[in-house]
Amino acid sequence: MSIIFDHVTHKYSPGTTMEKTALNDVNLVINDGEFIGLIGHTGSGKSTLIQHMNGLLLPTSGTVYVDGEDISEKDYSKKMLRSKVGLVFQYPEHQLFEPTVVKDVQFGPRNLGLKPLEIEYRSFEALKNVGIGDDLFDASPFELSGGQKRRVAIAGVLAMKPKVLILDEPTAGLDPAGRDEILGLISDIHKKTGITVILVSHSMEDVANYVDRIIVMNAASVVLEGPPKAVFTYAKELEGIGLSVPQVTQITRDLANKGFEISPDCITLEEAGEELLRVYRQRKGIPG
Amino acid sequence: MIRDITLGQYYPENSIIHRLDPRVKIVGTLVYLVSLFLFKSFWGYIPTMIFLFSCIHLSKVPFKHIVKGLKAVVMLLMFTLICNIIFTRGEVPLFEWKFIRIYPEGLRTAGFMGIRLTLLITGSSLMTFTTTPTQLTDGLERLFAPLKLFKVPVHEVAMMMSIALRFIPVLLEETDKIMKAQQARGADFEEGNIFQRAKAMVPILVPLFISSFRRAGDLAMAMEVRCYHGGEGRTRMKPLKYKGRDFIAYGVQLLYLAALILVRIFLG
Repeated sequence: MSIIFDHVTHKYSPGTTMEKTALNDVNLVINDGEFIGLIGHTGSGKSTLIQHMNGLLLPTSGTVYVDGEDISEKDYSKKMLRSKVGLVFQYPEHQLFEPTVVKDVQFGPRNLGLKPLEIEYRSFEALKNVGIGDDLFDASPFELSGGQKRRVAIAGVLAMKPKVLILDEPTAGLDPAGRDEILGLISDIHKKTGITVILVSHSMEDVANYVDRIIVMNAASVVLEGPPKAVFTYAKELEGIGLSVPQVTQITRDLANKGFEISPDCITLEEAGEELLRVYRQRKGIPG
Repeated sequence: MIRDITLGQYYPENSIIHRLDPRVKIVGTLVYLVSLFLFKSFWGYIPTMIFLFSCIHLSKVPFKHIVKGLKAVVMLLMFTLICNIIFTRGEVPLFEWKFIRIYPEGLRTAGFMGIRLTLLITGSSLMTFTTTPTQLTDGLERLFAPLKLFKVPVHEVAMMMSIALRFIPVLLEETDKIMKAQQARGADFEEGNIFQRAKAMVPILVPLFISSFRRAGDLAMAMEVRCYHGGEGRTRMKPLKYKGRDFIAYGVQLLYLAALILVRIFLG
């Protein structure tokens, strides 16, 4: 299932002094099964962009095609679209409302009009997939920790079995351990189910390890797009718009500039560690 | 979208009306509201309309924006009009059908009331379009300050008002986000009968209430750590001070009132 943005522009409050262009002539193709990182500074238009993917917002001009269909068409079913494209917002507090965790996760499938047994099955499966044990099924969602709430919120969308899963800043407000846990979880879901995943973040660090492709947004436009290594070669341009390459990439690049024979575009810690070891052995004459 | 409700929301612009002291605008609005009830003939609408439209023109708020704000009260207007047309009794009915009798007097009253209500709402929303909530409560606090002599907690009421006003946009935005989060899970707020729709509000209201309580707690804590202890001895960053233009505005208001009284005396 692909999502195509064709010259999409979106304006908030058009025709008033508060008019603001949040998307400016965006062209984008998102393919089936991709794992994408959507990066940009606050206010760069990321949230507006993802809300076009499930029809919460419609373009002011231009067209969004999901599965080849124009979502702005009058008789296009928004409900169908939202079951295909699942969107998890930044704050789980905005969506948790039922007295128990299980019931909350069942809200989505129930809205799809599924059979009770199917709803129950899906909610258990989704909770298991996000690592919430059955001891928490009947707990109140408001008693959970920040990380647990976020997982329940993700389960609430997963239970609808979307083909595309979009997560808006899923790591905001979590400590490093919680962050790694959530990102690992998302990566596992992607591997296990093969669904398209779009991860929205303002931190390169977060996404570099996991995604196949990075889309960089700035001032309402897509400015860079490609595999992480390709995007990170534009370190100067990224810094210019308030973003940075991951620290490990920065270090290996600096070393390469100083004349070490190290590959300048390591993304993960492991990769960089191996490279450093290799260079070290080479210099000391230790056979690898 | 929910944010499109314009009735009374501040419209940022740099005009003479925006720069006036809030007290002048509050008094002016009161004068205007009273003036609308001073006359009994259609002649009175000429000065009131001239006054209102020149204020709108000076305020630089687009006329379209004001009309958009009126849409929210169309139902109320329609209701008043229909009640007036049906229930006003006169001598010779214009039109008769079963129990409905329409008299020329009814049409006249309806037209009169309709214009009066529209002007009333437009006039008072012009004040909120051109005055920020903070200025408004500051102005009210100063205007009602003499009531402190009678042990009326003026400052506390003003503070409560400004907090309430301050949180309207915050809560609107929050509602918008919550609605979107639930819509993303397939919630539907537009379809179904009235009971289904009322039930569909639960997933919005629960998170909204929880977050308002959390916000209220946070705010109380933040005020307390900054040693807030009521109005006693509290100074202002921007104290209200009358300037030349404010006295001119008061003068214009007096002239307007005098003109209307003349209309009342000579034209009824």
